[in-house]
Amino acid sequence: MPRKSSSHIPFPARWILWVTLPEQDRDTLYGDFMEIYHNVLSENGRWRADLWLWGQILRSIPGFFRDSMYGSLDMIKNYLKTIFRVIKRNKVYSIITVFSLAVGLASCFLILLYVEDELIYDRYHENSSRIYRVYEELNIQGQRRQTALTPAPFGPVMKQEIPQVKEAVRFLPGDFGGNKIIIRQGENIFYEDKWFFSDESVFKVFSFTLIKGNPETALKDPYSVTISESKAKKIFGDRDPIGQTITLENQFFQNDFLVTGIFKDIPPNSHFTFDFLSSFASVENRLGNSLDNWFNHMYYTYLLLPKDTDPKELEKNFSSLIEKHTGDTGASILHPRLQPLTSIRLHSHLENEIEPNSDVAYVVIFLTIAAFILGIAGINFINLTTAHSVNRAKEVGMRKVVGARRSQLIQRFLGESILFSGTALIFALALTYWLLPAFNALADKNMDLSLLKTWWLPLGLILTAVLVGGLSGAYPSFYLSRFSPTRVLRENQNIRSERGNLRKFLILFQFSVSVALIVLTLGVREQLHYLQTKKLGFKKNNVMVLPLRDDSIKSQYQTLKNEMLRSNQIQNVSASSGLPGRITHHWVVDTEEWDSGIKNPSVWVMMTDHDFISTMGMEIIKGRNFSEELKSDKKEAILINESAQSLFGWRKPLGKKIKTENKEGRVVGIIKDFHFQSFKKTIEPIIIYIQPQHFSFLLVRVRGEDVQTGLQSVKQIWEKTAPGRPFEYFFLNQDFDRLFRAEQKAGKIFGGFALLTMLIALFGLYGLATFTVEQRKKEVGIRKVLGASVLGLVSMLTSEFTKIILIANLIAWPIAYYIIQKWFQNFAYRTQASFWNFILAAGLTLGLTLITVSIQAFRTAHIDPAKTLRYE
Amino acid sequence: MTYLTRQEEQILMAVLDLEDKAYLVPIRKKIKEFTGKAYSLGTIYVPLNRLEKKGYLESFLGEPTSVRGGKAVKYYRLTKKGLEALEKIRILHNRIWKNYAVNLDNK
Repeated sequence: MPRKSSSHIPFPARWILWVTLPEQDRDTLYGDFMEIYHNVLSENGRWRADLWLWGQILRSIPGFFRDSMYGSLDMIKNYLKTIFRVIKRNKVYSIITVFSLAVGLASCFLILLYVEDELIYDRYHENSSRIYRVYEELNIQGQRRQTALTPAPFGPVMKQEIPQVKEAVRFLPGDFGGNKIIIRQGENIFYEDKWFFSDESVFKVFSFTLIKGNPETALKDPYSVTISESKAKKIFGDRDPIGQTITLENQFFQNDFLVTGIFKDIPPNSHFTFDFLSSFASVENRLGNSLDNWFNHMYYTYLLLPKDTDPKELEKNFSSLIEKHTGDTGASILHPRLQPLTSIRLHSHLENEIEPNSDVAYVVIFLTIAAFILGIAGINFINLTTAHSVNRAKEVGMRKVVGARRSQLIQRFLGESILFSGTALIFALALTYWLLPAFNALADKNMDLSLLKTWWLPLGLILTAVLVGGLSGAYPSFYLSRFSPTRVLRENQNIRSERGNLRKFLILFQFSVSVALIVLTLGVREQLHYLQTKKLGFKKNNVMVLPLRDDSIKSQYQTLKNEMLRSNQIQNVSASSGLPGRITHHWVVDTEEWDSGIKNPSVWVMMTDHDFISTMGMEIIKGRNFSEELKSDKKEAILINESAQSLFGWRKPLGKKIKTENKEGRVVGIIKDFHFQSFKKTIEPIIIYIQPQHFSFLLVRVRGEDVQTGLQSVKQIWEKTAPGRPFEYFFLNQDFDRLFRAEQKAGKIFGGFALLTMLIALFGLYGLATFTVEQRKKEVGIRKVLGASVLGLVSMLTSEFTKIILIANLIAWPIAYYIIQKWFQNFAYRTQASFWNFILAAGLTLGLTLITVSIQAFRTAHIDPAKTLRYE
Repeated sequence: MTYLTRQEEQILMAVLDLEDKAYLVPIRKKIKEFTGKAYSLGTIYVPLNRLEKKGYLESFLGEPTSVRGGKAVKYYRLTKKGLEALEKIRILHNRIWKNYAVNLDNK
């Protein structure tokens, strides 16, 4: 005999039985099941018994179900009929309920699409979990930097000497720091910027698919290149590109490349994309020895590791490897680290990222907002349904009198709310579809509904809708089904809504969230405005930038400049290697005298001509500017900024010697600190000197009065001096504003959703106000008869809501203040959260609430008391 | 008045057969003996319950036992109406099947 305890029916089956067995004979039926289960158990063992049990359950349930439906089919018909009657009779209520839920769900869907789009970055690679990127933690005299760039030998040496490293792939950007490159094919010239050189193993490690060409050999030989499908179409049209050549022109190359393959366009969900992938052998051929340099950081290195390798363990091998190849100096400076490929998009914030990444914080923030929006829409549902219960109470009472069980009533109200949320779901999907292009523009993404092809997202959406409907329907249905028929059916007895307090609390929550979001949006805007209008140390307006792409146009720079200066629309002309926001040279410099302890510090370097300072409108605070009269300036004058002066620790900086890779000179002046990087960092040291070989940009300051005419004359001069070359330009201020583009984008999305929460909350409030005011109709009538003024009545009716809104503001303020302060701390340069933001948020919510509620209040207060007070 | 269905007939016969020990488990067993088919408990219970509602059967609760997890047994017993219905169906059968043997011989 089995032990008594073990003969009990195991948990999930027991539960299922208990739920499905018909109510009237639940106990005895359960006993019957137990008895047979027990018999089978003692004869054939547990396995057979369980098998029997589950077979029984599966076969019995349909029978039970049909039996229970037998009597209630008419009931269900009746329920549907009454639900539609409710909808018909309370159009405003139904529309508000469905619409606010639909808007809430739609914004939730958009956010979920956004989040999914972020999460699937780089996961399309078959080996995505095994690919790691090597990044570098540089330690130069106590200065720590983390950069995504690594020296060329890292990859190959790691593959050779560490057995776990299966493959190593290096990428070298073909634009060498932000300049576009020129590609020629026959007579045609194309400006492109997404050219990379990479090791031939790239197709083994990453899942980039070659449509044409052999992945084994495509990138083996020097000067071979594979092209993306769309670019191949652009360059070659309908011709077969394989075997053709294209010419690459940039800083280092002026060569023909043989097209050996066509790959499918790189999916947008990649932390970097490219249109041209050329063989690393070309770089070896061209740069030769410099590839052995362990300190020249120019390359991105990716490793393929075996499954379940611990990257932390692997990193331990690196230091001995570095020491072996570079000695002690290298080992103290170079500290390679590993990061998983799939974490790059959301978690990597290194210097020199290939493309700017996103931040996991945004994902978390947006998910939070999604939850809040759903919560607020759900609350509308609860509030409207319970408020409505006054009108429904009689129905409940009547049904109870004719014999409805409470569980049936619960079913009925739950069914109603799920019907509502189902309708809302359909509207929400339509809204999502309709809003997606706008949202894409806002979020700067390219999402479509094909993301719905994954099985879990549509399921998730439907579940969300049913859950929201079910959860927000649960409370009202339990609440409504509890009414006692004797109370609600007694004549002239209006049941006062008992849960007024809960309703108030829920409104409080809704508006606290809305106020907080508004304050946050205003704070973000304020900071962005501060950044956009901040004194930068240079004048960013009215400067046109013309990229100088190759040597032949660089050689014409002096002619261009002279021609332009002749025009009276143009104030200054200069040229430089970089721009604020686009400085790429970061070099270790050397000097003979050291007042501070730091040796060989690295600083930013910009190479310009004589007129750079005046063209940019920068300020020299000590010493002098470059001078055309002094011939020696071209050779040896150097300007440094204040931050560089303090880095070097010089009290008397003028005349001090500085030596860089391509200059040996003396400091002639100090520039007032100017912003050339993200505002999240304090201004870093930079030095400026004259060096025409490195010019990448022509800078033209147009006279302020008429930019359009200036633009026209610059264009004419360009076309005259450099015929056949496309005229390209951008404005410095727009380009510089890219630095806070991510914040701008987030700010816009944030603002959009803040508005949306507010809108949904107001919808709810309107619906609620309608009912509250309705309930007090008689009271208003009596007051009016006794001489109350319309205005007095309106203020009486609205005061209840205004109080809640005021408290909501008081709750939201400190929370919003705390969050906005946290966000501000991201920036080295930030403004103060203004007091007026809070007042504005309060004013906005209060004003909109008053308008919403007053509409109803006025209507009621204007009704002739004779109508409301008349007995039926 | 309508006649019993075949299923109802089988169940009532089983209850009749089992005398005072008629509850769901042995009824199911009996029907298995009659027909050779193992119906699920639910499939038997549903018409059983309907027969009780129609007044062909009446039920009373027995003692709970440990084998049944402390749940009582629900015994069924035929009412007068049930017996009459069975009798009616027996007469019907006889009437219908009367000439069956003759037909077979003629074939």
